[in-house]
Amino acid sequence: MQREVMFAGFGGQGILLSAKILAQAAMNQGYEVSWVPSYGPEMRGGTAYCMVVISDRPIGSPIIRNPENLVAMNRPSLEKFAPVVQKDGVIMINKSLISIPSGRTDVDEIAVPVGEIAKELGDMRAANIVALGAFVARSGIVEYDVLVDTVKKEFGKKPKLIPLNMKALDKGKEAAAR
Amino acid sequence: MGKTYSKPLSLSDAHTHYCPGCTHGVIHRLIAEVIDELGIRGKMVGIAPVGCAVLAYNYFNFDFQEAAHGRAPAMATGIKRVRPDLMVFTYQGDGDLASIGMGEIVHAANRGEKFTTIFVNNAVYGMTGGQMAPTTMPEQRTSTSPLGRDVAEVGMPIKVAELLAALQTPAYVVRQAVLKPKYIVKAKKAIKQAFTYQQEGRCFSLVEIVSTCPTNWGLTPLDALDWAEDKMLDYYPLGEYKTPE
Repeated sequence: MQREVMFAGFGGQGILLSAKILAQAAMNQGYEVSWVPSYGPEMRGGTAYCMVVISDRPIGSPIIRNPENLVAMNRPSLEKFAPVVQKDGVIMINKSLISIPSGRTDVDEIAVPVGEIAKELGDMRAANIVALGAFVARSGIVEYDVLVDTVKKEFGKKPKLIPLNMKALDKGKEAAAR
Repeated sequence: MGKTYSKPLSLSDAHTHYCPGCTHGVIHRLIAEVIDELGIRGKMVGIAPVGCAVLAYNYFNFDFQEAAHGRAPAMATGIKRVRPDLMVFTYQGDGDLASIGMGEIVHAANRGEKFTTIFVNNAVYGMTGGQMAPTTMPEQRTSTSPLGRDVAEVGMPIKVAELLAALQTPAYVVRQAVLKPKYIVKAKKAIKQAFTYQQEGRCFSLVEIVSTCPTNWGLTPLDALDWAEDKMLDYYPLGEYKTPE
């Protein structure tokens, strides 16, 4: 078994972090994982994307031309990567910033207003965690409970942020329900 | 009511990617204004570094060349020697010029290559995440000197203007800053003087500009300007270090 997801957006959206949490969760579940970031030279802004591969065998290549799934946090990322996502994969669209559909008819597309949800919860910066919750709930790529534990551990050094992030995951999960 | 000011023709309409409070924006503008005032836009060639200003070619309305890290003075040497009619300048940061490119700049200056170097000194490596640079101040905390620059371990900061001024070949070497309006006015004059010497085919010129990096210094843009004024100007005094006369 091998599953892949590309997280993509602009620098500052927490792309690398949310992808890392997913990779960590998969590792906690006993899988082989790879996490490969890619970002531009800019100190602020610019592009940021991250490929996560989750497998039950050693991973042959951490760079996948046609990832199974995509989490697109901004429009240029959706436009760039939607065409290469595998058939029947999940494409999660950040509805707060992207007003267009993926353009694919053969994928499981969900559009979630992660920015607004995060803002309602009190911090725009949690949008990436909302997106993560939505994507994991929809794709089942890791067990949702393992993800919750992993997020708790990730924010272990900043325990004040844990309640917010728990709510963010929940709201994401809600939004992704079929 | 007549027009008081407009954006220089030499500056493009592109939105820069620089951080809020970055002094690259100011320096770009000064360069563009000088080029407009001297009327040399049509024969201008800039050479962009590896660093935050790597995308400088998007921000100016004249020809640009991208160089490998630190090698801008080498490219400038080639371009200026093959096309001495062109006005050539390099735009470099601490890492590009004073680390990996130290060989290139010293020898280009020593050979007296007739181009201009704009050296942006913000005491860190910016684009790569705020690591300690040859220009980092003693005790300054950076991502690779988290306990502060220990001069007993890694030496004192390098004063590039003084270093190049010590070479025997005639040159124009000056250090200014862009930390407050009074400094910005002088920085522009220095850039204009440097380009004027190049127009005359006189000599190599270096304009070192004391600048800030709020993002990597962990300071607000305004605090960064103050920090630089307080902490950097004593060690990096402003003024002309060498003129070709």
